[in-house]
Amino acid sequence: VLIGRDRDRGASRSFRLGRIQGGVRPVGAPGAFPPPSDDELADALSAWTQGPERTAALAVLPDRAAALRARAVDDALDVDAVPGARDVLAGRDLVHVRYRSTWELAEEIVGYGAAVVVLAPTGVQDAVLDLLRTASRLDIPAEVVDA
Amino acid sequence: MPERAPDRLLRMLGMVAYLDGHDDVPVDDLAAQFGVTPEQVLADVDTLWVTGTPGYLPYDLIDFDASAYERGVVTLVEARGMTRPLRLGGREAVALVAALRAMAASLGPALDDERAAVVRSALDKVTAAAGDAAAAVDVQLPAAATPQAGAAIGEALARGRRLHIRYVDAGDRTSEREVDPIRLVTEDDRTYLLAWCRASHGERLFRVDRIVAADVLETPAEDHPVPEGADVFTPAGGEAVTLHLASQGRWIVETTPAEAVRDLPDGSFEVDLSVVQPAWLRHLLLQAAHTVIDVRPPAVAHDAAAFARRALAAYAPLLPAGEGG
Repeated sequence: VLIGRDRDRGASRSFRLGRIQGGVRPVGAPGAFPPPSDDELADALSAWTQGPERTAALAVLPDRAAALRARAVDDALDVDAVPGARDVLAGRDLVHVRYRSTWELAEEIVGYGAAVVVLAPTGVQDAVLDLLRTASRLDIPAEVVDA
Repeated sequence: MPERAPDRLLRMLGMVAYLDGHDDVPVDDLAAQFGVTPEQVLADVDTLWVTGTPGYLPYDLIDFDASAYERGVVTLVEARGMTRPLRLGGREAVALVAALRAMAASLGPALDDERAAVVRSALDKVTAAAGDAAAAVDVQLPAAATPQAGAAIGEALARGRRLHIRYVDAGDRTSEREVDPIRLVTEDDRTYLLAWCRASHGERLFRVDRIVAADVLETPAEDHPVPEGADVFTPAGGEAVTLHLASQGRWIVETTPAEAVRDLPDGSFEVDLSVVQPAWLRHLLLQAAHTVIDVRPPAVAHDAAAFARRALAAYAPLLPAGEGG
């Protein structure tokens, strides 16, 4: 990853080397900008060292998602406060897992399809629903979808 | 068994350095030290004896004490400067630091005390020697195996024992298998266990984060010949699928073994995949749903969309009426 100051956006950005296409050439004279201070560098890197650890509550069909179950923790979110959770949990196990990145967890969970339903938090649930809704239109011809 | 020349060279250089610090070493001890047979030690010494610096006249050659040699004892008389400490360039030192940190992080709990101490001491020394350069590397491995499975895999590899594992494949099917572990392989941001699977009679790569339980058996692991390249995941004989993706879907090419990639003028691109596991492709399409423009053959898109619709239906009790899809 290349961490740099994006001069168009006036903020630091990170760039995956694998996604830089075509030639790269230096512009400007040597010493054209002051090197970042340690604090600035740590700030820019913090986007990569992800947020604090949080817990998600999942409703999992019996005998499914063994890889998620293996990471289950004892924390308990108050899922009774989630409207409809009781209905979803009928015939499903309540499993809690820890995560840092909402989208990473969402991308993992969509792979289980109907076997795993996110009860909480809403951020993860929204991210999963967003992917599922988009994917549910994959077999509709592209012209119709307002992409 | 024929030995690779670089391995032998490395051992012989190590031998010269070792003998420079140890006088009168019995051949058997030297053999044990370097993990080879006494015959191999004698062959190595014979070769070193006629090795030296350019000129190659008698005084340019490495020399041993001939009378000691007759008694089966090796004593180095003239090292010809071969014992100069190994010097690392900055890049080499940084590469070593990165490799050692990765080793400590991935094998940490699985190493016995002695090996853990060796890794730690080597890491301390190289880090100190590399100075500021060592601060330039930061190694972070993805959360891999559960501690229980990680420790069991480490122990089985160290003791050469068979493993009983519970494994979840890409299709979320759990199976119980007995495997003879071969080695750990790190590829991109995942760690795999390369092992001989006794159920399928072949070597297999198991993603360690999908090994949900592992037990070390008392049965010794059998040796299995593993073809070169077995530690690289290469799907073969799969279904040909072409994805047309928006440019934000670039990451798929980085993380997926693609057969071919074609950039299109509008910044989007097409990628040809060879798909062995339909479940894997379905997961990929759901993850990347926002960037998928088209999928060929259409049946694949239909399968993924139907899968997503079934999942959405499961959320119905949680959502206000009419927000299901």
